[in-house]
Amino acid sequence: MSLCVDSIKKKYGDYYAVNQLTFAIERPGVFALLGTNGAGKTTAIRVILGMLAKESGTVTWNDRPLNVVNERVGYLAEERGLYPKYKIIEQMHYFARLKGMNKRDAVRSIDYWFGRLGVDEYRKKRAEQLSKGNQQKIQLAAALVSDPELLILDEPMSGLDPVNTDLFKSIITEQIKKDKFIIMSSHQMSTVEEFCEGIVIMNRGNIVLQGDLNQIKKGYGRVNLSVKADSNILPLAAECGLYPISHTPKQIEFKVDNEAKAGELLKKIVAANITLVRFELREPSLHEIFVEKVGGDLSEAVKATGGGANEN
Amino acid sequence: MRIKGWEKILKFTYIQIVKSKSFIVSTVLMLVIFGLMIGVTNFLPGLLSDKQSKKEAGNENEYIEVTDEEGNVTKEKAGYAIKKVDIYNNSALDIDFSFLTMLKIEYETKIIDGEDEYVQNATEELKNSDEARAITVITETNSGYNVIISRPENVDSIKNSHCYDLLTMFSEAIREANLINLGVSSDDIEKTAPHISTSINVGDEAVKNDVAEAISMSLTMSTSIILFVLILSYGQLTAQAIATEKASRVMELLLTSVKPLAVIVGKVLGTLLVAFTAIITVVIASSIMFMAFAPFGTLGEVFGIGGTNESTVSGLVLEIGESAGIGKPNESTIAALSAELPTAISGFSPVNILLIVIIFIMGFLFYSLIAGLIGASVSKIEDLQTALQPLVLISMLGFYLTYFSTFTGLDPDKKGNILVTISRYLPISSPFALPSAILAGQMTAVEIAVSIGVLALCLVLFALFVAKIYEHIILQNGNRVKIKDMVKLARAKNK
Repeated sequence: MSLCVDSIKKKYGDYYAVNQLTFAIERPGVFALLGTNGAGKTTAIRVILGMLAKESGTVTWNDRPLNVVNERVGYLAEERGLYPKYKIIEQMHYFARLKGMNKRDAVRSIDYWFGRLGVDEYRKKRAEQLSKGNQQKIQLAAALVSDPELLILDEPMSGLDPVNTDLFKSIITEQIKKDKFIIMSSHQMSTVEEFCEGIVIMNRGNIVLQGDLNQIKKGYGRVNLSVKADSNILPLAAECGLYPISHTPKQIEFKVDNEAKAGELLKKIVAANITLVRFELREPSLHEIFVEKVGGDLSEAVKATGGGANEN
Repeated sequence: MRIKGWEKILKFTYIQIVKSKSFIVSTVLMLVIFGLMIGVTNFLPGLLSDKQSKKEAGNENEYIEVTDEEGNVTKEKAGYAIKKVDIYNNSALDIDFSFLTMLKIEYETKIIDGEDEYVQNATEELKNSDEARAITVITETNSGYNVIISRPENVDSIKNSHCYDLLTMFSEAIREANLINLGVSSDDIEKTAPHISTSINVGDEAVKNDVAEAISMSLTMSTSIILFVLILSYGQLTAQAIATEKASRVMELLLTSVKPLAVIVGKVLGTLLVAFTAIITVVIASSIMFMAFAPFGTLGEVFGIGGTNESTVSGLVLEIGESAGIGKPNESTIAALSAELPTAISGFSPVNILLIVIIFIMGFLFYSLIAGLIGASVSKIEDLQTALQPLVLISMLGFYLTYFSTFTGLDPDKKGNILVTISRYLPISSPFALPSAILAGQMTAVEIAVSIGVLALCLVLFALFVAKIYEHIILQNGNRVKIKDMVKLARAKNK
């Protein structure tokens, strides 16, 4: 199985919301579609799912054009939506039946997911009577009810409390173990880092970075140095040509050109008989890579327009 | 097939709307209104008649049952305000005044040929009397007979209308007596007053008389109005349903299972089914109420199934006429109504009803597709009413085109009126105009086929337009999608 997105383009007026987006998911796991607000992630997802017509490009699933009507595809949209006035159980049956499930399978699956997500008590309530978090759980149940092969999660954990975040994470882990293909879009970089292998970072419809996350990190090298000591080490760092990029009571962060400079600083600290609490040389986090790739551009945009980009 | 899954959307849409409080309340309300209308038709004449009679003649409103020679029982008014009539019959005729007895009016016949002075004195005496009494003088003239009824000045309960009623009856009695005098038998007298149906031909085409035209216009206009209300209100329901799904973002979830076109097809057909449910519920319930309570008797009789019940129609017209304070309607009007009603409603033949249902479905689909497109063009539910205004205007235009052209079209001199032609072939008005024209028998089969064909063609073209652009606008949030944007989208080549 594989999902292949090739050169898709989507234009709104004269603006390309998605421009030449290309990526492939060759094996089960989580693939991250990242970007700032308005980068074109949601539009890209809608185009991939065939909800929006595209100007050009192809989306294939198992070497055939993806047709969500005929495939088991689950989608948790960023903008949550349930019928506010209808009973939860009736909506769930409707969604399951639309997925082509027979009544018995639908009942069984709904019962399982309602139990798993702890929302069984709300089945006879109307959606408008539920909290935002519980509505989100119902939506996740709706996305998973047909046991989809391809699961698309757009900001799955936004607005959830820590307990429910863990619940969602455990379900995602389960789905990975079941060899499901998952595309996740999220601004919670730590979560993405926790699950994802491949990533695409988009900015203004264009890809600014893509590939295997571990490889990308390795490509950057171990250039982030975090130091915490019981005395001031900044003069010693300056002697090594290192200047802090952030300085908090907790630690001091440096950017190093090569690992040798970090070693030089370590020697100086030890020689000065300063007690070290922490000395870590690591690869950049996804958060840092993300900010590096799109942060500067965004700052310029803010300066130029005095506002943010539009969500699409 | 690109619209796989539409039937599930139809089912869900149908069940949810039919279960909704608004549908139940509106249907029950319609039933109550129809029930009240039937009830009012039945009971109001009696109530008003009662009130009127009380006002005019105390408690003289009672009816008595009269059995004729064949054993038929009919209701007759028990009496008038006039209690007693002195009849001075100066003619040579032997007149039967027994009709006065049926009206509980006491009478005394006086033959006083040549004693005019006596009559004058009696009339003078009556003038200042406080008795509910009248004097009738019948005399022969060169051209026929003269009947004079004198009533007292100071008896408020006696009105001129009572005297006119009596005059009519005396005239009829004199006519009959005259015929008998000439050797005509009672049976032949019946035959001398058959109902004469009249009509005028313009060229070789028959023009209905005023009565038939009035009935026909009422029925056909009612049909147009009902279709207009149903198409507009349920069309808006489609727009509401789609806008709600878009605004609540449920649409995105649906579109992982079905294509956008399936959503609008399911919604439109689901709402159409809801409209039929409402119509059938109201028709069945109203029919039961009608058959149970209406003064017409059974529907079968009214619609000519098993024979037209002329007497019930006459009775109704008579009662309504009296209760409305306009006196008894002219007998010829009653007879004409009785005669023309079956003709006027004969337009509701099975074929015509089937045609109307087809036209209703097509009109409904046409307007619902527009409404669905409008529903999909808004992102916020509060924008929907504003967005729907053009649809309301277009349908109003279509309806009023039908409304005005119906009146002008009935005028033989304006048969070829351009408004009539436009209203019957323009898709925005033909769903309202065609049923009226078909019921009134104003169109040939070819004209009907062409008109339905034009509507069908426009429906298909519009459906293709909707299919082309619907998926482009259904997830487009932000500002409302304008018509020019829709046209641009329809022209664009997307994969």
